[in-house]
Amino acid sequence: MTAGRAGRSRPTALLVVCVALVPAVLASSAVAGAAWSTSGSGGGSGAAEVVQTGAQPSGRASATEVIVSWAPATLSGGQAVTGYLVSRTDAATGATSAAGAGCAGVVTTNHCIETSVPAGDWIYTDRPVLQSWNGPVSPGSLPITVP
Amino acid sequence: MSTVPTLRRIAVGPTVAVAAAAAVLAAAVLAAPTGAGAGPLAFTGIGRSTAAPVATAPVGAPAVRAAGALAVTGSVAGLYPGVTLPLPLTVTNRSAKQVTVTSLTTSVANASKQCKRANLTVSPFTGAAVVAAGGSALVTVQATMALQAGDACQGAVFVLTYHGKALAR
Repeated sequence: MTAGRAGRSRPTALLVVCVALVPAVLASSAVAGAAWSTSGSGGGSGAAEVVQTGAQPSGRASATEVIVSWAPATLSGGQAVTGYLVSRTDAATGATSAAGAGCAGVVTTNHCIETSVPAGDWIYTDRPVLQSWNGPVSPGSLPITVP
Repeated sequence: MSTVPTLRRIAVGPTVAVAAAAAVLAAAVLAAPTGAGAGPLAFTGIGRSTAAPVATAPVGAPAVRAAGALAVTGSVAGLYPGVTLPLPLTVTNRSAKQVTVTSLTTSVANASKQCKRANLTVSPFTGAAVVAAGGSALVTVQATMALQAGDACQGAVFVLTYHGKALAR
């Protein structure tokens, strides 16, 4: 008899333990639900501008000096460029070189005066730049004659 | 000879069943993301990326994941070398509980083979932005194009992927 009661009471005891655990589990869940975290994602884009083509320059010669000017260039969004690279091409040979003294390097205005220009017919261009960006070269000026 | 083992299985059976049922119930309750005193809530995610790891919950209140409740969108245009522009991000809370956004980070993809991701950086958001249940909020971060970005980056479009984290009570 005793052995029989002991055998029946084991599953009953386990059932009691399990049932007792349920409220504990529910209480634990309530604490967890008091604060939770979430996450998420999504997308977008970052679009860059482009440097617009330089404007056709115009100029005139005075002795060995050539005064060259052009309209300001901008980025596609309207931001002003930071400078221009000026070149000149020999109308007779087609050889192009960077402009010399007075127009050498990055010109930060929209005009310059090149000095000591050799005699000949010269076509000037400007190329807008912004920091490390270079825009398309402008159309060439009408030939400028240096006597 | 085989009667005894059969009887033993019958005697142990209910115990195993009760224990298993309790375990399943406990697991289900623990796994459900619940608000304070509310019933279980379900969340689904959107976007191209996987959810970021959840943030740490306050002491004494273990975190429960509700992945994908946030949706983050936003774009910026007008980038050029050396410029820093505001990048407004719209954070949408698709859950039924108010949340506080604690972190937003951005992954930048290469715009092209010649214009690498390193040419664009986006600052992280590390403040605290409250977003109402089912609502949205605007958070602004900063996008900077490198001064050395080359001509290959003219007209480039960088794909941005955002990752957000939030807490709720």
